[in-house]
Amino acid sequence: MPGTTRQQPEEDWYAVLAALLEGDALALARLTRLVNGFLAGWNAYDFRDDWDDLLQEVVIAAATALQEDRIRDRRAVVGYLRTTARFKFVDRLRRHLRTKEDQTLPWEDVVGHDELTTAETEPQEGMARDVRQALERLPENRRLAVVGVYVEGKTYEAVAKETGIPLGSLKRYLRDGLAQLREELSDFLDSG
Amino acid sequence: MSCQKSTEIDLSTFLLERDESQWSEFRAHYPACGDCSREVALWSKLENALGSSSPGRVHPPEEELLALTTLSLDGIRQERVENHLADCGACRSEVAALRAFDFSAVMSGQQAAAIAFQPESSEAPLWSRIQSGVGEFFESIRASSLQPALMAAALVLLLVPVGLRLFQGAESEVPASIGSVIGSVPIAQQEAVPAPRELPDAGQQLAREDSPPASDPLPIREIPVLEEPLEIAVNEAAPPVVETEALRENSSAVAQAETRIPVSNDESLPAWAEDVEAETVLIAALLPDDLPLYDVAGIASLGGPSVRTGGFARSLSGRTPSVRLFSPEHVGWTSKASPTLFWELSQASDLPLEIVIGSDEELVPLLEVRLSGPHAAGVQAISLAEAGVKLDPNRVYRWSASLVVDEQRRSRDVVAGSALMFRPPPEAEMADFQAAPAGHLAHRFAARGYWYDAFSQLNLWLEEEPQDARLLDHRRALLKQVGLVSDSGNSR
Repeated sequence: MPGTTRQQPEEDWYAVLAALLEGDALALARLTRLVNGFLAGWNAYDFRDDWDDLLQEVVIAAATALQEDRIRDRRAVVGYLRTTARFKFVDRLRRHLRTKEDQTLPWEDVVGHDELTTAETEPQEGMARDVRQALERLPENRRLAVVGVYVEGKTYEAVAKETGIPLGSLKRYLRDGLAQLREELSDFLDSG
Repeated sequence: MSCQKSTEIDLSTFLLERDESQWSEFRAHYPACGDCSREVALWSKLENALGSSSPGRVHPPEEELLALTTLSLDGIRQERVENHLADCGACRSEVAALRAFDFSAVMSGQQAAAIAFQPESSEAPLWSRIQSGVGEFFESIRASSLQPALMAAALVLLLVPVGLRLFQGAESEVPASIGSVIGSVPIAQQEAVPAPRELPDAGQQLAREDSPPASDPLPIREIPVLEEPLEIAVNEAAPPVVETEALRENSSAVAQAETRIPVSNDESLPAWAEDVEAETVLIAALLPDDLPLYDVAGIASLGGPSVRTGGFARSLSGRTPSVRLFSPEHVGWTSKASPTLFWELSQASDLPLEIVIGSDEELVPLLEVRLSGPHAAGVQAISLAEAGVKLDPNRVYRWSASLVVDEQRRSRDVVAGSALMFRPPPEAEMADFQAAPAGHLAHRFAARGYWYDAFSQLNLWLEEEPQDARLLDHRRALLKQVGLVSDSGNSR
């Protein structure tokens, strides 16, 4: 997802946010990608009508907080953005699904857990190794499809063109490849 | 496990097709279902793990997405980014956010929306506009291959308010709002280019309270209420024409409504046009029952889905309006060398508005014009025919509308852009258009893939009948098919 590769420790998000207040469009693009990474991790694309508005709301909320001097610690910007994104996302989700006041959506737990793990841990090298090994065990066509689309982020058409696999077959290989990975990585996935 | 949905459906397929409508029920179900939430979370975790397992995962850099929104990418990079966007919902959202963001919501008040331009009166005398309009109409007949009788019938069909006024002996003054029909509205212009027409709102027909008084934003006419729609017979013999000031004025609208051929205005009136009985028919009554269906089968390969940039800003401050172009997301077709292009301002503005049309193959834009404010909220248009601009056939042109927020920092412009191509219709398509019964032309354009023409046609009819629910429904259907109106009917 965009954003997951952008969260580099050297990025001074406070400075980026300050640049946004000066009308820097590139700063907006950077912040948008960061927030988008959070939202994508929570499957916000399943609630497409809200996604675009959410992006803007979160960025504006953070910018306003900076303007009003509510973000004192330069290192707190990413956390502020993530937390604001989560609150606003959950709020919209609850409204969207007409959730009762005292009801908690199961998906809120997923979002909260994801935020916790994202905030506190770096990507686990062990996990990455397991994933790579599972990918290597896939039959070639499945591997080509999954690596091209999910690992390298290419379009279906681009992968189909590069591999020579017809588009329809490519989607079948993708589906089968994902199912096999789901099975082989069940320990890691179920570990929470 | 109490819910079996997640085991009954193939979640790997859901991951691949989650945007598609057949999954809408499940999308609304799983967040509230504990079992399905857990399963979807596991699959999503797998998806994310794959995505972060390699540094080689590539999304276009933010700079490129930003450049796409300002139409400043070169052709190769633009194609690459658009291809990526076709399959990447996350990046599409980023682009949408970049297009829609309103800097005035985060900048100080004096920085944004501070430049006000005083309007200059450049409205042409009424008679000049009438002459121009009438000349344009009859030139359009001469220039087109349509039958004069057919054109005359079309003329009669669209004499909605004026005919009845004449019949009822109403006052002979031309209503002020008619000026908008031929493109001369009291909006200041700096260049010899016609001011944009202001048209009925593309969304709900809501009164705009914030429109500046100078430009009379929504020229809503009184539509005569007919007890019964009149039957119109199309005769080979040309119907006579009654020459009145009002009738001449409206004939311009007819020309635009049914032909839209680029014209000059030095043609004398044909003899058969000297005397016609003015009859009135509501064009909406002649519309097909079915909504227009935009057929993109033949043009899907022309461009990616993200040609259209810009959109509504969801401003918290509400100070700067957003601009939305009415166009498909891909390179849209027009059958006319000089089409009419439409855009919409979310609110009235004093800021200058720049319209630029150019092709990737030419350094110098084909048209670059600045329109001073004030601009009314709502739908506006510019006629390339009236601007004297012709597109080359089968060449992709990019066009944009920019509100200039800060002259010194043009990166703050509120920009919307899109692309179009003049595709001269093959003979069979032209015959199809010519044979279109009254009220069917927009549908024929849409069915043949000429979205710009279909939209333009419906707007021209709406100029005549701005409150007509059927016309608005048909236009809304056309917008919905290119993603400009949501399923709920609201503007995106």
